[in-house]
Amino acid sequence: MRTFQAILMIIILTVQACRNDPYPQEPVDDWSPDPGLYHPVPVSLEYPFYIPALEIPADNPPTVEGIVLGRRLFYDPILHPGGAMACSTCHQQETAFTTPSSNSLAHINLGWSPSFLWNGKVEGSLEDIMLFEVEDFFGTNLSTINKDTFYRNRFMAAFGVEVISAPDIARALAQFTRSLISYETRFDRALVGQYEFSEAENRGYMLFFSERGDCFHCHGNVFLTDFEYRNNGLDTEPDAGRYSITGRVQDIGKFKTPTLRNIEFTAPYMHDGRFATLEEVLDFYSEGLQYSATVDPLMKNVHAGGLHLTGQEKSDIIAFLKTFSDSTFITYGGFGPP
Amino acid sequence: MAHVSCNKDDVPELPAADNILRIVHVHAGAPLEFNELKYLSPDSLMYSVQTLRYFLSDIRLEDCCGKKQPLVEKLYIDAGTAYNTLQQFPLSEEPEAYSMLCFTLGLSDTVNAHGLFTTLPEIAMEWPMPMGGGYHYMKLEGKYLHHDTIHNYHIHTGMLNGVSRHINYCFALHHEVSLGGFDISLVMDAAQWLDHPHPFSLPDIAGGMMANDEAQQLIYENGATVFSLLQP
Repeated sequence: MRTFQAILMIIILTVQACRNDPYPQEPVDDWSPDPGLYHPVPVSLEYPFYIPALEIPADNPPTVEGIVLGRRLFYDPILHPGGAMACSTCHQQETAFTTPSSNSLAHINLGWSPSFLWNGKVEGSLEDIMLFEVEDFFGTNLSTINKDTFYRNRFMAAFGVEVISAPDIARALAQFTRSLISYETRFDRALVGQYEFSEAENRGYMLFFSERGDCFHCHGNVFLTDFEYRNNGLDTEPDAGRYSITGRVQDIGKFKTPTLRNIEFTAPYMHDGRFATLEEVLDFYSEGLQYSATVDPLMKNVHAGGLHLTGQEKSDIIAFLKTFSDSTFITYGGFGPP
Repeated sequence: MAHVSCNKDDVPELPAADNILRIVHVHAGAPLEFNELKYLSPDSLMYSVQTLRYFLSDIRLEDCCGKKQPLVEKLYIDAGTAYNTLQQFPLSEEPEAYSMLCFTLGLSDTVNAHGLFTTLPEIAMEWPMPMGGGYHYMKLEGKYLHHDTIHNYHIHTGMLNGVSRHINYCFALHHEVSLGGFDISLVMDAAQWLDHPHPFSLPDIAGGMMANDEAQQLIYENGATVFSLLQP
């Protein structure tokens, strides 16, 4: 088990034990958490050498306390003013933290992403998107969380703050989300010569990385996304997409290229979840492309429907796509409910 | 005039960099416009440019006798967003004068290998390992009108089958420069990629040209006249 994950498990167990600390259960006037709690333990987030360096904001380095706190908040409906939902209500670990009902983007390796949401509404860091979630999506009631002595102590321990602010909550959530790193796949092992593709996987690999399948132009490199916005030919009259943010006509129908990591687990597919299976996705790219004025130049043979792959080619590509699956990511207890 | 003090702690900073290299993009001499189906190909098809991204490498000044002043080792350019199109270099009081600007479009064989770049957006230029690995030299993409229907094209160049078609250029400067202050514009005329000496047909590469040795060679040869210099 990765070192920092072992540390996390120890801390998680400790935190669980501390949940029953004899702190006042009711709000108490003139009470503040003990500044002596503030001794955050740094964490080094691990990833393979071939993945570009992860940029971490200087004012929010990963710590045990920060990550554990962020995880607890992720699963706690306290973020919602009425307590009706948590992040995890929609973002479920077993689907790589996508939302099966509405197909939000997977929370995989988001620390490297320069923008967030299908239309890139929020650009910047994880702290920026998490602040958006706290203030705009949830509208978190800061008074409620500041009355919770458990959280006041944990925020003191993580950030040295006596009073919890929205940016503090965002920092904790960002630390947890930044730790959601996925790279334990057959594809990754093949990159370093520790796995040999099956025949079908190898045929799929060759198709993926050739202009026959041409998946790589958008889904290449180790992230399996180029982080760009593209119109991939879904509709003759596409949804607004990136245009709703930029106001530029050439951005109509463009949505963020999702990562294909763990794609096996993240159905349904496309920004509106219209495809239930990978087979439907391959059928779309093969025969279902639709022309619109902003369709990406990389889409081939659009007026004839697409790539016209054979059944065997589709099957092989799917076999290769499944080598991007990281079963540890969707089962690891340290990412799950505390 | 900058204040000079004998106290080493008071050493003035150099004035703002005044050695400038601009990378400018035009089409047949006019500023290149993106996403406009307004350009005419040699075979009389209207076409647009939507993406123009490429690497320049080994950008350097040279004098008449082969002395080199390196400026940039490798540079990713995105013409659509003007990414990296303004390069500034620190001033120097060295007296050497240079008469040429030299560079490579693409990456030479000695450096063009997977893993050379570890940051975005450069890693999005990777050339697939099954096709030799390394990186695209250039991505030129857009649309064209053919038989009343708009189609996509993408001209992607890189090393194919072990054949490296990076393009080396050396231009004589209109007047010698030193590192005491220069302002040079390197101009890419996108029209030349399709035009000279080989008229290039976009429908011929409808399915892409990364594995098309003949198309790679045509573009490589057309590249000889794509760049020019401007110097005030």
